[in-house]
Amino acid sequence: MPVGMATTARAPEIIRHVPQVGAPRSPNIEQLRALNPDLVIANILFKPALQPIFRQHGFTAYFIDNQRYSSVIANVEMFGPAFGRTERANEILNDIRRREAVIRQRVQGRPSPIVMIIFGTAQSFMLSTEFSYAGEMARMLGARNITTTMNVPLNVQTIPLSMENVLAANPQVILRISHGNAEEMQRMFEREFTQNPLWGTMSAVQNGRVIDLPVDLFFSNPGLPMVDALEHLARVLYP
Amino acid sequence: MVEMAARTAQQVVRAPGYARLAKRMGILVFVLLSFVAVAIISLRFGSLSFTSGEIVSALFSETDSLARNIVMNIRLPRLILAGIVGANLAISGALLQSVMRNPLADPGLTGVSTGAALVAVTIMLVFPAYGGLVPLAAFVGGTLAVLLVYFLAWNRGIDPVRIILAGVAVNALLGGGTSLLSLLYSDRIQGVLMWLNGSIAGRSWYHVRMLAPYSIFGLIAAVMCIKSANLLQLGDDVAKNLGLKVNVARVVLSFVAAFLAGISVSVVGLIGFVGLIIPHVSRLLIGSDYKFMLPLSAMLGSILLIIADTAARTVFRPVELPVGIIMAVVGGPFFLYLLRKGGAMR
Repeated sequence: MPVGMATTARAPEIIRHVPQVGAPRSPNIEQLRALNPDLVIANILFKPALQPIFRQHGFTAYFIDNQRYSSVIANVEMFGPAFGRTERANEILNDIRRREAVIRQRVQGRPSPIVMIIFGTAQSFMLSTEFSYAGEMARMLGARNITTTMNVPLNVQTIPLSMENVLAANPQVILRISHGNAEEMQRMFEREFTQNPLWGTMSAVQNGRVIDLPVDLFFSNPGLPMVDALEHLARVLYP
Repeated sequence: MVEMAARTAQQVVRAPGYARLAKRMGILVFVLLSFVAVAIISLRFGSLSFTSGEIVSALFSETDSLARNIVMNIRLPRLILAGIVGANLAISGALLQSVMRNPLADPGLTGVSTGAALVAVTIMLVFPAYGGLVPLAAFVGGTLAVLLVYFLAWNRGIDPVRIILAGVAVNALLGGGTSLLSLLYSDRIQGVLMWLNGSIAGRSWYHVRMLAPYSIFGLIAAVMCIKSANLLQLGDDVAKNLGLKVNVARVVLSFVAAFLAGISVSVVGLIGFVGLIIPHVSRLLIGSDYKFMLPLSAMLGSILLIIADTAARTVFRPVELPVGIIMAVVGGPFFLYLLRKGGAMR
C-alpha cells in the first residue's frame, strides 16, 4: 500500500488521495518519517543526494531508473513479484506486448526516416538523443536519430548540437517536445521557423513533416501510458 | 625672442603629445585590422568544414548550396550579433568602472543580468507559452533591477560603495529567485540552460534586426558620456570643481551602461567577463582617456566575443557550447593573469 508519494501534478487517479511528501529530488524528511514507510522508492537520478539522507534517517530505500520506455517494463517485471502481484504485472506486460506487436506490424518494411527531436522552447532548445525517453522510442520504431549521424561522444539524453551539422544531416522529420500549452508552444515554434530562414531549407520543413508531440505523453516518461506514446509516435513517423 | 622661445616651448610640450596620439591611433588601427582578421576567421571556421573557395563563393554568388546557407544564415548573423553584443558589454563595463571608480565593476553589478535572468527564466519555465516575449521581458526585468539598486543606493546623492553593496544584495535576492525556479522546475531546466549560460547559437537575422537599432542608440549615448566618464575618474571633488554634476552624471552613465547590457542580455542571455576584463585590457593598452579607451573597448569586446563564439561552435563540434561558458573558462584565467602582472589595477 502506498502511504505517501512525491508531490506531482501527474499522479494517476487511483493514488490521488495518498499524502504528498514534497518534490521528488528533495522530499520532506519529517513528513516521510511520520508516514513510517517500510520502503522508500526514489528516482535513481537523485540517488547521490538522497541516499545519505535516507541512510541517516534509517529509511530502507530503493532507487529505480524510470527514465525510459524500457525501464518502465523492467520496473513492472521487478515490482510484480516483489509485491506479490505477479499476475497483475503479467497482465500489464501482456497488454503492452500485444500493442507493441501491432505497432511493429505498422512499422515493418517502411524506410527509416532521419529524425531530429527538439526539446525545449523556441528560444532555447537542445536535441534529444537515443538515450532520452522519446529518443529511445523513436529508435525502437526504426527511425534514425540525427544525433547518431554525428560522432557525439557522450551518452547524454539531451545535447546542444551545432545547427551547421543539423543542416548538413538534413532531418526528414522534426519532432518538437515542449512543456506548457501545446497550441501556444506550436505557435511560437512556427514563428521561429518562419523568421529564421535556416529551417526552411530542411527537408522536414519543406515536406511539412514537423510534428509537435503531446506534452503529457512525451515531455517525460508518463509511466505505463508510455505505450500510448509509442503508438502515437508510430502513427506520426509512419503515416 | 620671448615669443619664439614660447613657441619652441610649446612645440616641445606638444611633440610628445603628437607621439602619444600617433601611438594611440596606431593601436586603434591595429585593433581594427585584427577585428577584420577575426571576422574572416569566424566566417571561415565552424562545426562543418568548408574550403576557402566554398566560403568565398557562398558569400558572393547567389547559387543555393549548403555552404551558402550556413555562411549566410548561421555564421554571418552570429558574427554580427557577437560583435554587437561584445561591444555593448565592453562599453557598459567601461562606463560603470568610471562611475564606481572601481576596477571590479561590471555590468552585472547593477543587477541588470540577474533581473533579466529571473524574468526570462520565469517566462521560459512557468509561462512557456509567452516565450516570444522573452527579449522584451528580460529587458524590463533588467531595468527594474537597476532601478531597485539605484533606489536602494540613493541617499541624498549616489555613493559608489552604496551602489556596489546594493547591487550585491539585489543580485543575491534575484539570483536566489532564479535558483528557486530552476529547482522547482528541474524537469524543464534543459530548455533554459543555453539561455542562462549565454548562447548566440540559433540566433538569426531577426535577432540582429532586433538588437541593432537599440545598440546604435546606446552607442551614441555612450559617446556622449565620454566627457563625464573622464571627469568622474578624477574623483568627486575635482569633477565638481570642473563643473560636473556628479550625481546626475553617475545616474546617466549607469543607465546608459545598464541599457547596453540589458538589450544584449535580453537577446543572447547571460554572458559574463567581457564587461569586466575588456576595459582593463583597453586601459593597459591605451590609457584611461575614454576618448580612446571607449572605442578600443568596443572593438576589443567585439573581437573577444567573436573569438569565443567561434570557439563555442568549433572546439567540441558537433556539440555546441554556450558562449558564456567559453568566456568564463577563458576569461577567468586571463583576468587572473592580468592581475598577477599587476597592470590591471588602476
